[in-house]
Amino acid sequence: MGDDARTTPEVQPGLQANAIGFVDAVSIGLNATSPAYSLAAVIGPVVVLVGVAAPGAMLASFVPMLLIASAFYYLNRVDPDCGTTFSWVTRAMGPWCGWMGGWAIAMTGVLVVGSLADVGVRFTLLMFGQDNLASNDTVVMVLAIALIILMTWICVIGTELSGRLQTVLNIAQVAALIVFAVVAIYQGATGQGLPGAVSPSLEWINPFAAGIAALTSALLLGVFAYWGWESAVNLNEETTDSAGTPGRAAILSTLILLATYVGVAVAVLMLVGPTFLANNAGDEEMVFALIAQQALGGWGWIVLLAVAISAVASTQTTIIPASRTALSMARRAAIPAYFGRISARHRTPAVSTWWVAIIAIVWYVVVSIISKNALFDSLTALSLLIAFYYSLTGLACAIYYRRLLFKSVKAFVLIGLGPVVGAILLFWLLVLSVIEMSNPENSYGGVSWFGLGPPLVIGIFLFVLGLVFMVTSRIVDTAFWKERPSVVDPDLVPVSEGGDER
Amino acid sequence: MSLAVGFDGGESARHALRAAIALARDLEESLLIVCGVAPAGGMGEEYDVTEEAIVEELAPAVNEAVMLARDAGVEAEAILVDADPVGALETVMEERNPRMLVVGYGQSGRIRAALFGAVAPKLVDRAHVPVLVVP
Repeated sequence: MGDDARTTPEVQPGLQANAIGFVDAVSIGLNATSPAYSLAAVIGPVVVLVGVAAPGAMLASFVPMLLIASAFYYLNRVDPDCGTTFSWVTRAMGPWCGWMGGWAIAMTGVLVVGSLADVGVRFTLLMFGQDNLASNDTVVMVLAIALIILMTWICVIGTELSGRLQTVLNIAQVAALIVFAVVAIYQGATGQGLPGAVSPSLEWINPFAAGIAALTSALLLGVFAYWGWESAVNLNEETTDSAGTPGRAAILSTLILLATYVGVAVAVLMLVGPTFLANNAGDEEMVFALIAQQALGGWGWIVLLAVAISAVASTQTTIIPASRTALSMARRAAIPAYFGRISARHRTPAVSTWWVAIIAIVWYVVVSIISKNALFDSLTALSLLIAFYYSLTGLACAIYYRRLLFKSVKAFVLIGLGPVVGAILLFWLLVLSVIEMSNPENSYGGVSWFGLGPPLVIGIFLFVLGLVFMVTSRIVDTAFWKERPSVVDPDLVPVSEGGDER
Repeated sequence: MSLAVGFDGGESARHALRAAIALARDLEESLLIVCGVAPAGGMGEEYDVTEEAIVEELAPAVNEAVMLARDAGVEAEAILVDADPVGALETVMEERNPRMLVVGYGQSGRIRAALFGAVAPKLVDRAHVPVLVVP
């Protein structure tokens, strides 16, 4: 035969064993956003911040996400390596921007995991009626750390929940939220709401009703709630069982998500009103549990279960992108090669996964100790990171495709204008948030560190840390720093979008 | 005709490999050494980079396996498939029609098997050729 046993054979494609059906495709779109957990984490703070403008804020924060999802879609299409923001931005804009984009993604994993575990543990305890334990921060922290270790271990050994089970969990999660919203709205409408509950008015759709400072914080939390949604648009015809499925599934999952988020915001206002939430603002995580029990009484455990499962499952959708981005950075010599070590038996990036978890645990403990509103601070800081790397991605898309943008209207709008507007919106939100949080009077719950809002301090700290590591890497001058920006290969782009693909 | 053995570089895979080599030699068949190299955790997000890393990591063990078979006088070929280990064996079963699949069985107990995704039980469900499980 003449082949040398030393050379490694090419990887052959596997059978497309189970092409994804419509229902599963819809579920994938919902999976990555973790709607139950996201709502539990943000709805309290959002209503406290902007009161009756909460539904409007949830709607408004969707707009930039929609535009950036278009960027993810088009970058994914022409990327043979199924990359993330790190590889795309490096390819489009060069190593400096790419490095910070990758860093931002890795840090999102670190910031969110502690909160996920915390919510997962608390809501599980509440579900079993252990209200005292759920309020005991030390107990919760210990259990949360154990949960983080468990979920990380599961990620490292590569256990995959069956697709069916995931679909059932996702649909059930959304169903529980919708049931809650419907019941709460009904109770509010029939006068069974708490004193302080408010009646719906058109004003609720206006995000600006409560002023700009509060709105920017609320929009940031909205960005967090929709984070991950772009995976809904990343399915394609090869993975699904029919040609129209990906598009229809993406649209349906989007509508379901929007309806759920806005619906729950309306329900919370109609059932308990802003004053209840302001009075319970110190307990921001548990607030949603209280509201659920208010609406559903003995059946409240359904919502608690949905949130707990959502939080725990969400560890997979957040740890994996972070650890794989770190792997990619290590293999391209942007960070030390040590972080690129994998477990071949489990087919996972073991080293980077454990490091994300370790740093996440340390982070979680430190922030819980030094911050009064730890959840809000971490998630808001996280949203700053998300806004940063999403806007980078939007820019990268337009820049990468720049030679093709003027060849068709579709290309210009969907690949150029849309993503750039999305990037500008998110960047504007970022800048505005920085300005607002620089004013200690605006801080949530009246807390400020060094005269700045805590999320801003966290954000600045992480950004500067990233700069330090990046410059260190640059000084070492690895191969990564020799990469140069390029443009998209026209042969990969369909003619209707300005390319040459036949 | 040939035999196909699932291989991932681990202890139980080596047992299976030795058994498969002995069997292939006695039956005078060739041996397909099959590796599933798809990253766990699904599509998207640096999938190909992760897969490259997995292939690099497995390459020495796979090459060693091929040499071991050839030293025993068995014609051997390594096949890397973009799938999980079960999917990889399924693919080879459909495309190369081996007369038998050989796999190791390292996990004891139902729960460990479920957690670690034991190949043997899933394979037996889906195979239409005999499956030899090497404990």
